[in-house]
Amino acid sequence: MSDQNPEDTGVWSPPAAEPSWFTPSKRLPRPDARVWPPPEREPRGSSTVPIPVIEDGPAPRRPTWPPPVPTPPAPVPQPFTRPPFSGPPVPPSAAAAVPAPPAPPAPAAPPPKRRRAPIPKVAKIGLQIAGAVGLTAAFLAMRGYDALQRYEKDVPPANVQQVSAGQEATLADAKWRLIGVSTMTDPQAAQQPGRTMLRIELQATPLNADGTRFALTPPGLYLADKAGRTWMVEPWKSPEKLTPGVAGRFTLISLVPKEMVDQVELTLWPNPYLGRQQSGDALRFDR
Amino acid sequence: MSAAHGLVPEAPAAPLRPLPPRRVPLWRKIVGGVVGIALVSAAVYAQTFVLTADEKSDPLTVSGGMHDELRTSHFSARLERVEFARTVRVKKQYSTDDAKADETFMIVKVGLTAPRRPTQVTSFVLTADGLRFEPTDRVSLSATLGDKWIQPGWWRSGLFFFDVPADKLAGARVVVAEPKTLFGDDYMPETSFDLGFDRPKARQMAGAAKDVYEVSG
Amino acid sequence: MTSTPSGGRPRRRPVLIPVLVVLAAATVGVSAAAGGLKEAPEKPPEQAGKGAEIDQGRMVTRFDDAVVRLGGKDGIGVSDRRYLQLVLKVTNKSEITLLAQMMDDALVGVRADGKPLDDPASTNVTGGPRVVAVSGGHSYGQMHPGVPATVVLAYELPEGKPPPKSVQIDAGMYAWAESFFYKTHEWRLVTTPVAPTAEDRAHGRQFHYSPIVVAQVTLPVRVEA
Repeated sequence: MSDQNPEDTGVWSPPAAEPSWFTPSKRLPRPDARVWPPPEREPRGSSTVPIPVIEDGPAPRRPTWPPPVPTPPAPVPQPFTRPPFSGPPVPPSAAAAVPAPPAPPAPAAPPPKRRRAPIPKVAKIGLQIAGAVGLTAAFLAMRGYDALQRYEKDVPPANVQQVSAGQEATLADAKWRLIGVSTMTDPQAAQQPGRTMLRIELQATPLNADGTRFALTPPGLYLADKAGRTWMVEPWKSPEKLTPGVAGRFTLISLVPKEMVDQVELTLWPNPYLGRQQSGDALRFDR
Repeated sequence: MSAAHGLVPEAPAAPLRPLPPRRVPLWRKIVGGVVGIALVSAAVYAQTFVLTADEKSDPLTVSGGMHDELRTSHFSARLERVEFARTVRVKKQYSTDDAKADETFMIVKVGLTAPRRPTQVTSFVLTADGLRFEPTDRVSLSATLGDKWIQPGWWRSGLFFFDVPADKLAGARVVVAEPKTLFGDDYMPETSFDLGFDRPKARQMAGAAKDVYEVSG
Repeated sequence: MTSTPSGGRPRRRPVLIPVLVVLAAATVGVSAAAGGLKEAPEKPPEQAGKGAEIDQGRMVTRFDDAVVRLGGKDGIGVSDRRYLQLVLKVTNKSEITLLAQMMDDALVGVRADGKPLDDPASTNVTGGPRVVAVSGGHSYGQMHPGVPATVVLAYELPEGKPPPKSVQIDAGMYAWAESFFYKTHEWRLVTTPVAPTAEDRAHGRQFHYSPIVVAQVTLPVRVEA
């Protein structure tokens, strides 16, 4: 008869009153009644006198409430359980007392607010802890990501181009070619056993006037093995002068452990600073 | 929806049954208060762990004693020998420099290697009362390990010379670290060696100092 | 509420407000009598002479001598030039080895007969003295913590001019100060705002910061043959 939601007292109840586990406070809708404007005409059949006891069971809208035991004395207001759709919810025994609605139960025009069942305390605390941990992890991940982004802006990750043996490759205003790597007799070999001196011949052809700077400031040069270890490479003889388009030759010296002699490869960075950082574009020459 | 619904006072059930006033027992109030104060105190106390701006640029120190091999991500170091001398004679190719200490030079032999990349290190003496003595400039840098490159694959030994009064050596440490750059990186590794000197031992060692310590450089 | 409260208790006299008024008046009066709220004039720097020991925060400096001599001795300068040498005994009070060169900063002003010596426009190309720590006839560069060092500031003198009669040295003061931006600590010269120079006015500044002078040391200059 009336479409009025029985819960609608006319007083707006804050959504915070949802007794759900994430509600920060336990504020509940006050059980007050609308006073003014005067409530709608009450639905017929309702009464303000003490409700007659319904003997045999719960309301038909809650057909599957557990045995009609009096509702447990929970401290929080009775949450509405969602009527599970397990079969036709034939009220167990209420039919006698209350005329039960036919098969699809309680097609209430405004479906009553569904309230979640209370979550067990352990699960609740577990969820809270999991949330805290998750948020912390997300926060740390964001910070780490941010720091990494900033670091990579300052020190771009290495971008090494592998150059096959005898080939020429372009880097930083010049073309580079590894001519050869040979062993040398180390004048201090007696004091430093286990090491071998290598002599490296490198050819540079400047592409433009900027490329001639390498005669004065050699590029960043290292010998590197597969595992990422690096060794110093010192220019021994640099070309006096480089001219664009004309090949110049560097002779370089390096000391590496004896067992690495055949494995190390020359890496070339545009300048010594980037070489130290191992950052940015680089060439790595196969032998 | 029908009379049945109207009859069943299901919705007014909530309003009609006033919530029982939540009675919190006194002991729970007290416990809650105590726990709250404890949590707040813990939070405030945790703030004392926050590093100051000065501490943030402190290095990460690996500590040990004589002959321990201390590994960091940038280099490994071991303190091999400590000697004392009044004069250090640096033999160069064409000349010889004599350096005289105010009291005695402490000569520290350090072995170093690098795990991945070539690097350079410097050293300083940290006394028990926190004074930091840089290597003396009376002995030229070329005679020390300070200008040498440390590379992967082998150990390199070298010397550092310190002009530290013997009475400050009790409890002193020798620290080996990468030199600070202008825009210092954070969390730079350093190794710190306890010399194991107490006052009598330091005095005895300094008293037994060699007159001249020869080194090439 | 015009009627007095029953009970007939006599109204209390308002004592507090008159007392406060009197106190405020006294405060204003005393402040005015003491010269108002203007910043008190700085204490004039301590005047000192030869052998004075001045605490500069980061180091304690004893002013031993001012001497004009030819270069070459103690590894200072070249032998055909004359140098005004200020000889100090400096004890490094900080926790770390310092370079002797920083004494040039610690002595914020050096004047010979009233004319600034470390003037960038002077004949000295570096615009300042060479500062060394002298030991055993050699000149080095370090001052180790807690170890007194003989520090010499050598100013090259122009040729053909008579040596100055006296030098006046302004000793600055260091403090372990926090950096405003980075919140890190470092030794810094204590400064105070002073009247603007012409250049400051050109930049629209009302004042500029100048290091405070804790002591003015006047040394007679002796000439060594």
